[in-house]
Amino acid sequence: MGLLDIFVKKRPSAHVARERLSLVLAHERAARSGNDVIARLKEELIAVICRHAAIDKDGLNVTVEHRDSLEVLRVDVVLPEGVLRRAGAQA
Amino acid sequence: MTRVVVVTSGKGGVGKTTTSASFASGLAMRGKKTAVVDFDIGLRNLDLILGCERRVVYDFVNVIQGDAKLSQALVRDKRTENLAILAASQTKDKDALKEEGVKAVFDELRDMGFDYIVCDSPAGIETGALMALRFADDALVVTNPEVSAVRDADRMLGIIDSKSLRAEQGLEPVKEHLVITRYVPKRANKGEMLGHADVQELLNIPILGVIPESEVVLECSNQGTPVILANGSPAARAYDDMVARFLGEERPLRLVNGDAAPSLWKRLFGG
Repeated sequence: MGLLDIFVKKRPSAHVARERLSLVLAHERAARSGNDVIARLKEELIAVICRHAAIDKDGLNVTVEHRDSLEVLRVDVVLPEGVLRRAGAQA
Repeated sequence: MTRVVVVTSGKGGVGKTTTSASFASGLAMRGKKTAVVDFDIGLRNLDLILGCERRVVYDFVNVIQGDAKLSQALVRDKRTENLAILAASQTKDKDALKEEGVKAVFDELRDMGFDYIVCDSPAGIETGALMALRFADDALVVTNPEVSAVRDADRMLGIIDSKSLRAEQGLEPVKEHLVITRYVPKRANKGEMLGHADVQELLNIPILGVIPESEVVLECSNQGTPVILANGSPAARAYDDMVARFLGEERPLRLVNGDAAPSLWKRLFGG
């Protein structure tokens, strides 16, 4: 192989640049739109829960966790005490 | 109707101010009443590139803060009719640029009958850059064929799509145009430089202009002349094509090499 290397043209650096860029841009764009999805999801979840119980906007937390090869969507809702019971009584 | 055009990039040193000066001059040369505004608060430079630095009395922040009238602060370009420059302030207070203040100045420019307001954005993604793109109808995203510049341009496109007033109000999105600077077709053909088609494909917005790497650019900045006025130079032609395309003309990309270093003959005997 060593001798052959002389004749084999090196891969043009612009190709390397294009590949590196297309990977990094795809990754960064996914991260950007991911944030948008989570923000929208959070808003919609708050709207749904508020139909049944008055909760504080800050009482809802939506995060994505990476575990091994899985992405886990985690939703934490803090309910003021007795809020569900009161809502149930009204219904 | 006035259109607001931001010239932006993310990365510094890719040719935002050079492009702003030539683009604004080109619009004015075609009879469009144009104001070019330097948003690089603290680091004023557009006035130098346009060669009017000695005639700047008041600046953008003076107008925003009510210390001067807009008509007093606008510097009329001596070479190009229809072109006025609003210089950046040299204050260190970056928060001097407030959205309401910028809006008031733009509204007044609209009332004065300007066809175009060209916003020369500072590098980075701080207040100055955000304010420059805030009211944009069009964006010229400037990059050179280098990985870091292309990545930052993509980042800036994301910011335009989320932080512009058009995006926030759900209006028709800002029209984005790609401007590639410092291009050397010979090197791109040899695979030593990202090609214009590669950059276009990566950023996925239409190309408005490809400006060749050229010694004329430095000569022009030395003299305070916009590149577009360097008659006969490939870089000037490329900027002229860019303005024509912006105004709706069809012009093929020329993709020529810029001016080479002067030959020994020329250096010895002039010419």
